[in-house]
Amino acid sequence: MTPEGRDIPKCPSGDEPVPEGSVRGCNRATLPLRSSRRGMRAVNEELRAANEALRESEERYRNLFNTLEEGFCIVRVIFDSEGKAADYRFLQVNAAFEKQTGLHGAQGKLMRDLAPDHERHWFEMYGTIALTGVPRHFVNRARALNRWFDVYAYRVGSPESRQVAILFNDISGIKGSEEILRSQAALLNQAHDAIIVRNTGDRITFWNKGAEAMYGWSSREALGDCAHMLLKTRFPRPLQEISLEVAQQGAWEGELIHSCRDGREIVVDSRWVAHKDNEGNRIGIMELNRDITVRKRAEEELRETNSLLEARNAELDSFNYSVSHDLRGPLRAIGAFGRMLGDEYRTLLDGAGKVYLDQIFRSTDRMAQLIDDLLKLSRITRTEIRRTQVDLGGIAQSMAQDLKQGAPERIVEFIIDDIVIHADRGLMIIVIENLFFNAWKFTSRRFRARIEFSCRQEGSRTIYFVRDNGEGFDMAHGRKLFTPFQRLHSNTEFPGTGIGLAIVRRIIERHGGRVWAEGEVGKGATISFEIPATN
Amino acid sequence: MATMRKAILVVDDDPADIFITEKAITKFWPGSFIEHASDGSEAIKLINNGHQPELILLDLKMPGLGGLEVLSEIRKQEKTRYIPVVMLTSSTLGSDLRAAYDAGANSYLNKTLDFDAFTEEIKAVLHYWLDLNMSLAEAS
Repeated sequence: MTPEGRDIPKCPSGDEPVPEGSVRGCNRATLPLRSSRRGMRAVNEELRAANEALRESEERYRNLFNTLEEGFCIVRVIFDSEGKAADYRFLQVNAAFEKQTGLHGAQGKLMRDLAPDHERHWFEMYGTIALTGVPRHFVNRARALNRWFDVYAYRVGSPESRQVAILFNDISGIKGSEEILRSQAALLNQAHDAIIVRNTGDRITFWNKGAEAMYGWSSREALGDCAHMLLKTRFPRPLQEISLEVAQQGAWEGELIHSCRDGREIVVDSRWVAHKDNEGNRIGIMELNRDITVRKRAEEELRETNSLLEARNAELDSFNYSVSHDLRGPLRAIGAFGRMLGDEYRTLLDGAGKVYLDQIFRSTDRMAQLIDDLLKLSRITRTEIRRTQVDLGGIAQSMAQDLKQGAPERIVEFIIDDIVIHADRGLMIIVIENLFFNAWKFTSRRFRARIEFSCRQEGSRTIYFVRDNGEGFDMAHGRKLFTPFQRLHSNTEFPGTGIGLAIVRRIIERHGGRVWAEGEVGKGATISFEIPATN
Repeated sequence: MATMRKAILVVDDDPADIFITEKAITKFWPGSFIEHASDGSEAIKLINNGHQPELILLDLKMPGLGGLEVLSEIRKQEKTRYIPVVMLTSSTLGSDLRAAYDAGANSYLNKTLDFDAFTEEIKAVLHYWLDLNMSLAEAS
């Protein structure tokens, strides 16, 4: 009797002994004999009709048996000496059986022969059903067959027959993906970022631990909610546009503003990926969010600080400028009147007086130089930068020529590469002027001076440098080099005010770059700089 | 050649600067007749009261009536429109100089820190605008 109450005729076959009362084969009926001829004919008629009915019914059964898509079989459970279910034999298998299990020619065979590694729980289960007669519905895995089955099994026949009918379905496809999903979910829960999966109705179907931590709602609370409403999402572009992009490109990335459970607003870097089923149909969207609120704030602060610095610098420079400018007046007067004194009263001055006057001139000259340099420096910041392709190599070459012509007695070897830089031409000329002039000055004591202007690549950055084999400097005081007037050599050793490198630094910094110096006393110095490319 | 006594007007708010400018002129041209004014309004008064100078050396940056305003005044009036005006400036900003030219200045002179250099420049200015054929050696 099936669970639905249908009669399934029993058709025992195989090699086990036929129990008393039954007939081997089903094409014969058992009827009492009648003696008369007319009786014989009638009996034969009846027999034929009965056979016909049986055949039809058997045919119906066979049809059902074999057209079932589900797997169906009848097994006899075999118990061991201790009474534990140890194996079972397939008495009957339907046509779908093979497709559902992957087992060929199972009829008549023992399960253990067909799949030696078949799990014990299967035998136990069928054994229990055979003994108790209680039908069971369950889902379980048959590792030996590499499948998952949805099974309905019930006892058939007498309890002693130990026969169990099994109606089952291979659900490995569904089960397999469930397994994969579960292990994937476990993996996703390890991720620090928030991972949210939404269905096509934007309802949350997955909410990882990262999302719990980021937003404050537990998975249970979030599941089922509309993602955008829960998080009060603020989009950079209309949601329709974004959804369209996901539909067409398969993904979208951008910044969103989300509200957390506690009311805080956070900025997230969000990546959406179309979520598809095994057939490639879109079933939702997987969203990966990274909290960048801190980073954005830092960027904002950096921008503010930068503009503050720029304003401060501009102030300082105009201060510089006006101070230098105002200092000129009195200085000019000192120089002029000193001259007048010298010109008109020289005869009245004794030796000492003349020396005093000389000192006045020397000091005023020096101060004039300092002021002019300061003015030069502050002027650098006031001019606007205009970037073009500058043939720095060519400029350096002509500068080298000028220097050599100015002192033909010196032996100086210039090594200049073909360098083109995208920067302000006028300012870069000043840079090369100052760097070369410095190198020229500090190699003046060398018998054979060598000044190199080249560049090297460090990843995506280009580092330009001027290297000389001159006096060098003590790197412990390296920072002073770029400070106005902070000299590392006395004026008698090497003349100068110490403004050259400060000017170079200002120019490079105005281009957004940086400059630094390396050197060794007696071995030479290298001034390097890099300028970031602008978009 | 006989030289007319040409008047030179020096306008500057800094007395030391006036002294220096006059010294530079007289170093080159001992017999020169120099008048000075310390501010713009004084300068305009001097110009209008008959003593029309042949050359005006005008400081650009002055408090009150600044150099540019004085210049505009001079250029507005018919009788002073054509007097050569040379701006004296310590600024090298292109914008300042352009403004001066736009207002009607004929030339400019830098108040250099080097007195000797300044004297040379004054010499060139006087030579050009006053058509002087004199050198330091000749007396007026």
